[in-house]
Amino acid sequence: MKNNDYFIEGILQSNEKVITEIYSLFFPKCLKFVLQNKGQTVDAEDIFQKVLMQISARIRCKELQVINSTFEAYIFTACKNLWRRELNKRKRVTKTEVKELVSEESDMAYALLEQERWELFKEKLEKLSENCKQVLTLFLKKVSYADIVLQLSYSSETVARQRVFKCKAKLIKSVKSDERFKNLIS
Amino acid sequence: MDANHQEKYHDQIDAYLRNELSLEDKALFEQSLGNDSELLMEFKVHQELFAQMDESTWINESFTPDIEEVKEVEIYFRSSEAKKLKDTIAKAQANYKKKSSPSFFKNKLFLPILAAASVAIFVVLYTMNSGDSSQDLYVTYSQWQDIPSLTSRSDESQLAEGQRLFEQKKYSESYALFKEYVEKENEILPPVLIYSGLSALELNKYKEAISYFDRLIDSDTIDQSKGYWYKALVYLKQNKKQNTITVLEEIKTNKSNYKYQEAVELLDKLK
Repeated sequence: MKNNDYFIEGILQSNEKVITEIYSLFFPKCLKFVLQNKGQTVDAEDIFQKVLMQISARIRCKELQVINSTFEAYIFTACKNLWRRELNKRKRVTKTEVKELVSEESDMAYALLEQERWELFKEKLEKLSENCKQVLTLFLKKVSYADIVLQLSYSSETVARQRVFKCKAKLIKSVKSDERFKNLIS
Repeated sequence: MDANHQEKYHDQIDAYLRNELSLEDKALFEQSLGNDSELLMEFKVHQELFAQMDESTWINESFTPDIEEVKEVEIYFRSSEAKKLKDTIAKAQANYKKKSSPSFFKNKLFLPILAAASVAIFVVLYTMNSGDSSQDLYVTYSQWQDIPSLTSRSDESQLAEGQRLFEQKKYSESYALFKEYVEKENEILPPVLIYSGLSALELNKYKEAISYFDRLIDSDTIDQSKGYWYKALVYLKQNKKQNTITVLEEIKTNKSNYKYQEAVELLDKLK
């Protein structure tokens, strides 16, 4: 298997052969995800193209240093997130509120910064202690406190609630105190 | 913000985002969001946190990024370099489409093959790279596509129906159906236990899922060892690393066990 640098260099150099290879290797998984989530092949194609553009932009102007997972895992997460975003946008259009039209470039810029913010939260979540991560994961998945107590063998719901509160406060503090955060909100 | 104040905020926000409020309380809360900027800020942060675990939503409605940052990125997307890349991507996409022949796309087997291929790529990748969360690992290994079919047993239309519902991801329905069947019948075949357990797992009914797979493990059948693999996935989904490892070690004791190779790989990732 070729390494991350090979693919990233291929994108930065606009290398047709490497990018074709990227399509063969990684597009099917993205396509499958989109098809399984209310999308069509054309949607997947559009999303995948944007994922590649986003990688290039992040390296060129946001100094994205390393993709610290595999290239495939990175691409797939980006594909999933962009598609979630697209679905959310479509949902909103069907509501009464219609956002002013933005250019594609501007929309892609927003998507990129949202992806960064999402990664920042994820990164901070990953950095918590194993215990905190466990209880917060259940909590964020909306598992009831009664079940949390059972699954993690806490002595009572009060203890579980205190755990959640402390871990969550810690997580939020670390997000807010990160320098990147203030540029990602306004 | 002092701790008490913060705690009060968090309680309200949590209850709202976890859908624990009555309609009236919900409306009240939404009202106070409009009047309290500090609460609104905390609320947005929480929305983003919940989005980490909820794939049905995205974070474009909470915060808006700094406009200077947006402009900077936008400039790149308008640059000639970006335009060139976009053209190349379009060509690459056309190359790719030419290669994957159209008749293959129309083939009904296309999706299963695609699924199998993507799992294969994934498995290969995971043997070489680590650092992914157990959530990601769970997704990789939970592609449910080599479960034996129940449709051949034409005498049991209830089972065939259950399988159909499962394949359509209607897990609540498939779970109810299999649960009823298992309770009613004395002799349960391994595939039925697997479908019951996986339906429960998809619904995050972990205790129930474990009980079905334990029953499979305790059964005297050739498929007995499959119980370990699925049980490990139940723990993996819950992020219970130690339990996952314990069950995987069990698989590792015998090479003829179901998913022996995958179990060894997964153990590697987890350690």
